Amino acid sequence: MSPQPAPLEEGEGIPPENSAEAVRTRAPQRKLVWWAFKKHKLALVSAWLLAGMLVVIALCEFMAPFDDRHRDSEYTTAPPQVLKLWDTDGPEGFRWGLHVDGYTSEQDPRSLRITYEANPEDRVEVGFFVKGEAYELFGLIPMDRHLIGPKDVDDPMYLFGTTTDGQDLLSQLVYATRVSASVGIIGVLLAFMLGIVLGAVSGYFGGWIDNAVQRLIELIMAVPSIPLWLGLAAALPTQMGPVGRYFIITTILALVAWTGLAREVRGRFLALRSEEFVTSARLDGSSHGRVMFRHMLPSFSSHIIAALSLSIPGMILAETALSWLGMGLRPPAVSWGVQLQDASKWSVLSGAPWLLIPGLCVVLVVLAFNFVGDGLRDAADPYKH
Amino acid sequence: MEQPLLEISGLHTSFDTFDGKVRAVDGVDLAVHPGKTLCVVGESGCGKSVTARSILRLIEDSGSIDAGTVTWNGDLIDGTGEAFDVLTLDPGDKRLQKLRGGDVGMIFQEPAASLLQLRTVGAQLVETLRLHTGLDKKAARAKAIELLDTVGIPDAARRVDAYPFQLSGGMCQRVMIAIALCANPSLLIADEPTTALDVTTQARILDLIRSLQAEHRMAVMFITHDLGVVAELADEVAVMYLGRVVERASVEELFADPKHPYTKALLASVPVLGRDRGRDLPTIPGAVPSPLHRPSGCSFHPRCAEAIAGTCDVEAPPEVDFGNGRTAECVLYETEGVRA
Amino acid sequence: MVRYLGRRVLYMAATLLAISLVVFVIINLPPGDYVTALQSRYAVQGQGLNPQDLENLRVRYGLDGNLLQQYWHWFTQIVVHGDLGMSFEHEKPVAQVIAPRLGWTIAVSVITLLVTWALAFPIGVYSAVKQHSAGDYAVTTVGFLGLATPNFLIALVFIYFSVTWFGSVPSGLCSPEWCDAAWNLGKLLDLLGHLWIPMIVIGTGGVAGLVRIIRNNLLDELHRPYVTAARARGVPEGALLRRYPLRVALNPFVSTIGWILPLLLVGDIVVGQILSLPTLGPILLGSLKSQDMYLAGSIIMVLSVVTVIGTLISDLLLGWLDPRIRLGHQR
Repeated sequence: MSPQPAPLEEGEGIPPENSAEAVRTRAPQRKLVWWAFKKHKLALVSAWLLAGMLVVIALCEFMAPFDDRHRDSEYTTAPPQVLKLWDTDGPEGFRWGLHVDGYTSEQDPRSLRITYEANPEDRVEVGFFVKGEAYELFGLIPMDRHLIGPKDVDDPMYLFGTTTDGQDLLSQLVYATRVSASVGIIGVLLAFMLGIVLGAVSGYFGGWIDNAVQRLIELIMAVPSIPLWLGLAAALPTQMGPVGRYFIITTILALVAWTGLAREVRGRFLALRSEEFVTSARLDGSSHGRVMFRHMLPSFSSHIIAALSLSIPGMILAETALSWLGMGLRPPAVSWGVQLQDASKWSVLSGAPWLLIPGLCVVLVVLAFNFVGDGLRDAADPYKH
Repeated sequence: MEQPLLEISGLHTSFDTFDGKVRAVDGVDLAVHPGKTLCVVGESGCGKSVTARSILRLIEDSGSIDAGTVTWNGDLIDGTGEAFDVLTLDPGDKRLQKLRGGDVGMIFQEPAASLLQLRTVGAQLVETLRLHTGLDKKAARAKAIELLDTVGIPDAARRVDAYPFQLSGGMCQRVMIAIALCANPSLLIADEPTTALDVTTQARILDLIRSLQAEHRMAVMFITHDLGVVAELADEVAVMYLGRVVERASVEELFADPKHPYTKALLASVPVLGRDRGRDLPTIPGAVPSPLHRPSGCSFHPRCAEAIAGTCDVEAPPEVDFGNGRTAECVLYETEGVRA
Repeated sequence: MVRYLGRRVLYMAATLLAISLVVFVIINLPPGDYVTALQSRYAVQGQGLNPQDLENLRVRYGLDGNLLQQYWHWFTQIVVHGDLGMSFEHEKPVAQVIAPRLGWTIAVSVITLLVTWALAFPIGVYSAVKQHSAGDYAVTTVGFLGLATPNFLIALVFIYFSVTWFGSVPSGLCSPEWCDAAWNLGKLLDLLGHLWIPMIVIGTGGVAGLVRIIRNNLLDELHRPYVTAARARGVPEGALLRRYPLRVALNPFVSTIGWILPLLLVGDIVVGQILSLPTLGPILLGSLKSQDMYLAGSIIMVLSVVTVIGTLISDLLLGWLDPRIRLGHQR
C-alpha cells in the first residue's frame, strides 16, 4: 500500500482525456519537453542568456578588449567610463563618434589615495573590431582584432573600471567567466559521470551493491561539503601551476558533489527496473550495460539534464567561495571569486563599488542555470501539473 | 413526486488547464429524493466526480463553478429551516459548515489517501464528531468507538488509536464511512468508494452502505462506473457522458429498456454469465473525446451506432421527457416523448 | 521507537568513524608532518635538530610507524584523552585553541538556525497558501536571489552600504566596553545588537532555501485527497490547514537540520573572515592557509560532529513527529 498515491485522474476532478494529452502521446518525447519548456518564459530567457555566455566563453580573447595580463599602472582602481555616441565639447560643437572620456587623476597628499574624474577634454576614440593585443583564437588562429576597444591600444578604455592592480575589469570578467563557468560545467560533468555509473549500478542491480553505494553516499553527505572542499584544497602543494590547480579544484568539487546526482539517477533506475520495456529488453538478450544505458537512461534524459543544470549553480558558488577565501584558484588565474577578493577590504570597496560587478555576474549566471533547470524539470514531467 | 432532498440544476463546472478551459460539467440537472439511492454512472472523465464535488463546493483552485444552482431542501423537509442554494452561500456561512459532514456525509475513491496518515483514525473521527454534535472529548471518543463498531471494524476500542497506515484499504473505507455517518446525515455522497478495493471488500462495503441506509433512512448519491453496482444499489440512475446527463431512468426501466444509444452500448459491453460465453464482448468504438474539443452537435455522435449524418453532427440533441422522471437526450425519440 | 533510535545512534557512530578517517586523510595530505614543520621552523631560527631528536619527537607525537598505526594513535588520543594534537601555528594544543571559540560558534549557529526557522516557516506557509498572489511572487523572487547570491557577496554589499552610510563597519560580537564585562543585560543587548549582522549574512541563504522547501511541500500537500476529505466533513479552513497539510509539511522541514546546520557553519567561515567574529571560521581559514593541519583537521572534524549531532536531533524529532517512522512502517 502506498501511503498517499496521487489519484490525479479521478480524484482531482480534472478529466484525464483531453486533446493535449492525445497529441502528447503521439509526439516524440524530445519535442514534448521542448514545447513545455518554451512555455516557461523565464527559463527560455535564461537559456538564451546562457547561450550568450557560452559564445563569450568560446570567443573570450576576441570579446575582451584587453588580454588577461594587460595592466595599466597609471590607472589603478579607476571608475567605469560611460560609452558615448556623440559629444559637444569639441571645437566644432556637436559631433558623432563612439568614444569614452579619459581620466584626470588627483592624489590626496595625506592618504596618497588617487581619485579619478572623467575628463571630457580627453576624448578616447572607441571602435568595433579594432586592432589590439595579439592572441590566438581557440589557441590556433592568430588574430589581433577585438570586438570593441580603444582605437589606440595604449589609450584607457575601462567600461567597468579597473582593479586595484590597474587591470581592466571588463576584460578580466570575460576571462573569469570562462574559468568560473567552465569549472561549474566540467565539474558537474565529472560528478555526473561518477554519479550516473554508481547510481545506475546501484538502482539497477539493487541488493548489496545498492546498499554499499548508498552507505558510501550517506557518509560523504554527512561531512559538510565546504569544509571538506577547503581541507582538500588546502592540501594542494602551494607551488602548483594555475592549470593544474584548475583541474584539481574542479576534480575536488566533483568528488564531493556526485552524491546528489547519483541519488537522482538511482531513484529513476529503481522506479524503472520493473517496467515492462526493461524486462523485454532483457529477454531480447540485451546485456545489462545496454539495458541500462541504451534503454533506461534515455527514457529520463530530460530529468538528467534538469538535474545537471540544477547542480551547476552549487559548483559555481562553491568555486567562487573557495577562490574568494584564497583556497581555490589563485592569481594569475582569474575567476569570479578571485576577482571579488579585490573587493574584500572595506577601505577599497567603499571607494570602488564597481569591484562588485563580478558578483552580479555570479548571481545572474546562477539564477539562469536555476531557471533553465526548473523549466526543464517541469517540462520533463508534463503530467505533474 | 415528493419534494427532492437535493436538486442540482444547470450546473456548469470548469477547470483552467495548461491547454485551455475544460468544461468538465456542462449543464447537469439531477435530483436526489429522501431515502432513495441515485446512481450516477459514466466512463472516467465524464464529470460525475466533479458533479459530486460541486455539491459541497469542493472544487480545487484551478476549477470554478460557473453557473447553476444546488438547492438543499433538507432543512425544509425536516422543518428546521428554509431551502437554500449551496452555491450562493458565503464561504464562512454556518449552513455550509453544517452541510459538510453534518447533513451530507461524503466518502471517496481512495480511502487510505483520504485520511491523514499522521493522525490516528480516532482523532480524525472525534474531530468531526465534535464539530457536528458538540459532544465533549470523552463522550466523543466513546461514540467514536461505537461508530467504528457499527461499521464493522473488529476490536474497535483498540483500533480507534490506530494510524491509517496500520489498517487495510477496506478498513480505511469503513473508517471513512463512520466519519461520514457520525452526524446522522440525510444524504451520503459516495464517490466511487469501492474502485480502489478488491472485489470481496467491495461487496462488503456495498452491503454495509445498504444496511446503514436502511437503518438511518438516508438518501445516497452513488458515483460509479460499475453497472453491476448500479443494478445492486440504485433506485434511480443518471447516465453521464462528457459533462451532461444523457439519460435518466429508474433502475428497472434502464436495464429493461435503455433509450440513449450510449446507455445501450454501455449495457451491451457488460458480460452476462452464460449469454456471452465464447463470443467477443461488444465495445464502444473510439475513445471519450476531450472536453476541450467537444464534437459539434451531439457529443456522442462520433461513436454512436445510430447517428444520423447531417443531424447529430450539427445540432445539439433535444432532451426528451418520457414522463415519470424518465428522460433521454437524443434526437431519435423526438417524436415519441415530449421535448423538455 | 527503541529500534529506530538504536539504528540512528549506530548509524551516527559509523558516520563519525568515517569522518575521522576523512579528516585523518586531510591532515596527512600535505607533504611532511608536524615534526618536519617544526624542524624547518627551528632551522629558520638557526637551531638544528639532530636525527635522534627528530626520532624522539616523532615517537612523542605518534608519527612513527605506518599510516594505520598513526591513525590508530591519533584516534585513541582523541577518544581517550581528548587530545586533538598540536597546533603548529598557535604553539599549543589544538583543544585549547578550539575550546573558547566553539561555544560562540555553536551559539551563533543555533541562534541563527532558530531565527531562520522562525522567519522561513510563516513566509513559506504564506507563500504556498496565497500561491500566485503578489506576496507569493515577491517571496519567490527574493528567495531565488537569496539562493543565487553567495553569502560573502551579501556581506560585501552590506559592508559597502555600511561604510557609505555610517562610515564604518560593525565588527566582532561585542563593543569594546562590554567585551570583558561579566554577563548582564547590557552585554546581552550589546551582543544582540551585533549579532543581527552576521545573522543576516549567514542566514539569508538558509531562509531562502527553507522557504522554498516549505512552500513546495505545502503546495504538494494542499491538493491531497485528505484535504478535500477533511473539508467535506466540515473542518473549518484555519484548523484544516493547521491540522492537516501543515502537519505533513512540517516533517521535511525538521529534517532540514541536517543540511542547514553545515550551511550556517560555513557561513560563519565566510562572515568571520570579514567581520572578525570570535568563532571557529576565521581560525579554520588561517590554519588551512598555513597548512597547520592538526588544527584545520580538528576544526573540520568538530564542524562535522556538530552536523552529525544536528542530524541525529532532527532524526529524533522526526521519529517523534511521524508515527510511520516511529512505528517502523515501511513507506
